[in-house]
Amino acid sequence: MSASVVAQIALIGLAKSGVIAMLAVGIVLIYRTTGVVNLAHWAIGLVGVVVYVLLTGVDVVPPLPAAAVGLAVSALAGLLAQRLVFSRIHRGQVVTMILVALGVGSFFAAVSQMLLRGQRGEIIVTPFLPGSTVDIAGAVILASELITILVAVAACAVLLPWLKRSRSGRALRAVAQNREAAQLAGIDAARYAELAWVIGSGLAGLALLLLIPHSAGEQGGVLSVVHLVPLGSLLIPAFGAALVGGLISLPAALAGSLIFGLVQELLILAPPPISDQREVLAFVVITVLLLLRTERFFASNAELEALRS
Amino acid sequence: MSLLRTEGLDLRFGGVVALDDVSISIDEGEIVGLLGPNGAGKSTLFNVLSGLLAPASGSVLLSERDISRALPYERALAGLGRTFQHIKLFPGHTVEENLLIAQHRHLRSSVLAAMLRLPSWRRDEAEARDRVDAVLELIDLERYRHHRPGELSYGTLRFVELAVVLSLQPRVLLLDEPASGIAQREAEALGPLLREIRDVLGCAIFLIEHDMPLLLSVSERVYALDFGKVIAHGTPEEVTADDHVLSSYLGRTRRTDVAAN
Amino acid sequence: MSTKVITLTPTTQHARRGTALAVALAAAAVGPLLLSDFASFIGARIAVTAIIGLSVIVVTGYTGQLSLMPYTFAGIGVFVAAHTITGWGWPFWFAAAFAAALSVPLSLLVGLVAVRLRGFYFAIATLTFASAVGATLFEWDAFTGGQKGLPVSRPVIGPIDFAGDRAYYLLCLVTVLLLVWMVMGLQDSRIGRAMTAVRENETAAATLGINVMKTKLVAFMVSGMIAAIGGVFHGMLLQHVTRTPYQTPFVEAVGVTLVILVVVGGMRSPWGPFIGAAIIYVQLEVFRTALFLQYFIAAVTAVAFVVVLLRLPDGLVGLIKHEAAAVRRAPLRGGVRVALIIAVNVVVLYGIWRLSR
Repeated sequence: MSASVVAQIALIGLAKSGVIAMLAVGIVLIYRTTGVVNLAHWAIGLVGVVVYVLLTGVDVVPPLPAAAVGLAVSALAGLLAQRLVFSRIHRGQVVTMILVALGVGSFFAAVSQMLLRGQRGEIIVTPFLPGSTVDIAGAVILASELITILVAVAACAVLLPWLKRSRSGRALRAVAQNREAAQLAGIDAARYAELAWVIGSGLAGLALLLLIPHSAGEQGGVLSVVHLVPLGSLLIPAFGAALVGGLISLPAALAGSLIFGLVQELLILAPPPISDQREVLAFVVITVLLLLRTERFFASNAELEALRS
Repeated sequence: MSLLRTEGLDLRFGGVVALDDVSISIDEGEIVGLLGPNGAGKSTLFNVLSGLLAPASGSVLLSERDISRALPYERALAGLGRTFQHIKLFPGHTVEENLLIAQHRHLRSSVLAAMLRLPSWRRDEAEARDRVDAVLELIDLERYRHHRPGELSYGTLRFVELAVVLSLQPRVLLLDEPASGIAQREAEALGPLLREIRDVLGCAIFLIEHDMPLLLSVSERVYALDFGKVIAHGTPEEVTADDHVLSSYLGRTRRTDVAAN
Repeated sequence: MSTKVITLTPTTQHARRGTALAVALAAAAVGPLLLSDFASFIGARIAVTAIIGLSVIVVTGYTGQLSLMPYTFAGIGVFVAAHTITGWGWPFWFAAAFAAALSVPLSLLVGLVAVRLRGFYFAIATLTFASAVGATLFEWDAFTGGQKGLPVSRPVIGPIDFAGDRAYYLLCLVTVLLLVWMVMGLQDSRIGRAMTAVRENETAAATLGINVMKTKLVAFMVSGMIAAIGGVFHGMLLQHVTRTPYQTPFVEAVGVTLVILVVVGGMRSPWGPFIGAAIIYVQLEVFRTALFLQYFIAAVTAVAFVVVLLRLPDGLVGLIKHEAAAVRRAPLRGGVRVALIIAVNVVVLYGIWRLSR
């Protein structure tokens, strides 16, 4: 097995990591500021993809602006979900909260299918990224995969320092750490909760948009029917990655994304019983993370209490 | 022989001493009071007794059997019943259903017996309902049988909570401020009621109460707690005459400030 | 406290409720049979879904633990039915008992992990378990028949052949009613009350002598067994089963639909899944030809689901009880009100149906 094959698979894994990371960051951001475990995350991203498909389908809007509109629609969907639904639920009602998230996800998935006029099977989508391949020191990958990696890195490079340093970012973190204290300090907690939803949902839209063009190279992307459901294929790994940081820590969630994407791809090279059971391994890891109650390592008891009540 | 006994309980929260070498003892059929200013560690002691908090050292003995490592439900099964300072009831259930839940300890029927409505399940249910009737009559709550907690006044809920814990038929009853939030007239009736409960059930009662006249009139012995330490112990008259107790109550304002921080 | 409110005595109340229930059940039993084979098939599907939904009632409705893997347990029942009934010629009731028994080790495994977790951690754990079983047990071709799947035959009991949809519908109806009756018994028992107590306050339950861990485990086991039995009947309903819907139930959306219909029907009553399944499947079948409308209904149902969660904790069962109480208080006004509600719904449904043609 040559080094370039390993490098190639590692790069493909990195692209997967990038998508998982963008989903995971949104999940963490939304959980920390509002206490919502957002099972609707995938479906909210999906709405943006569907809008993109519709816009490019009629050949009026060029692909890139259409992708931007799609991203904005995802962000808007998240904003509406928070304002109309999630802001009305008490944080203590955990089961209700998850069920509502499932319901909101089903709603957006149904709307997406409705907008696509209920086409079954696979839909060919115009790409907004080049379908060419890139040769990096012998490792050949799709240009779109390289771009995915770069976009994910750029998104994190912008978002993390922004959260740390800017006024809005600091206010957002204050709301996440102590809602009451933040409100006493004159921060409008409701507004920042909405901001978290907008950013998180926008990232979900971006992640899903970057997923499409991967699948069919030159002709464009294939939107498979398995993507048109409330809980799509990468949502579980994204939750797994977020759980590495206990749904609290962004850097840990990023590390988790890196591991989940890379390891899942690299295990293809492992001997058969392991390479066939990559998904099972992911679930074992997630279950162990759950049992470890990783949130303990990243947040004070007071903050955890605030998230639950 | 004491029914419930502790030996040298210690517990700290961070740097704050919550319990400091607490050794108490309650005999069968006795009513014992526990007094002390806010933050003295009274509710903490109850939480350690009922297994919700684990002490750093020391042990809890029920009928001389060490239950220090028993889980809360195991202690309840062994006959330790308690109420909470902040009432804990099951809001989605009627008063009757709340009392039925508390019958768990006395019932035996299996899942299959219940699903197939076998005779063992029928007997169980009939017995449970008889006991609910008896408790509702004892506490005089019959008229609220089909109400849910949300529909009742705070004072009534105190009595419902008492009825619930009585359904457990405990050997020791830990009552955390049963008179708080109830009307003066009801509080006056509580003393005789507690004695009646003791006589009917034959259980011991360990009582936290800020209503001093009630506590002193109903208790046969009193422990006084401050800064997690037993500072006095004896008959109500002895304890109220104790210098330490007087000063701890006189110096209360300053100390509660400390405790609040 | 000497004023006495005059109310119906419990016995007459029970008698009236009993009559209403008997009428409803008679209608449910006879209705589809009079309509067509296909209506009977839909009826059977509703009954089978209600069985699987009952497993959600026990673990989520009563015990408050959100399990997202009922279809994994159902899947065990489905393939057990394929092997034992069709392959080995077992009677269906024995296959159902066997499937229920087989589900127990998995329940225990999941339960032991899950009782240590609360709220969403539990939900995510069940989701990962569902996918893990999907990637292992259901990937096992000898068990699931691979891509092609397996045939399942419907039972023959003595002289009665349940191969036809009408006969099979009646069998499913009897089974679901039996299970509803059993779950109602459970609800009124020591263990059922322990479950609802755990749902509402674990600490209070524990201080009253309830073993919270054991109660959750029992709930999980009972739930898994019911879902596995439902799976056996699901297999016989479809007559040919493939693994995909059980492998990734939430990607295939059947799992989501089940949770939604149970909540909309009413999560705290064993009748909830029955009512929820009836409403959702009747609509989906009426609009079967118009895909667009199906998705429209799915969207509307999702909105209804969220509204029920926020406003009607007892779902449609709660609503029906509420309206029934209104009718009892003021028969004329309440009756008119109920008739109006039903009329509006029928007209709207009929209108959409006409428009969709």
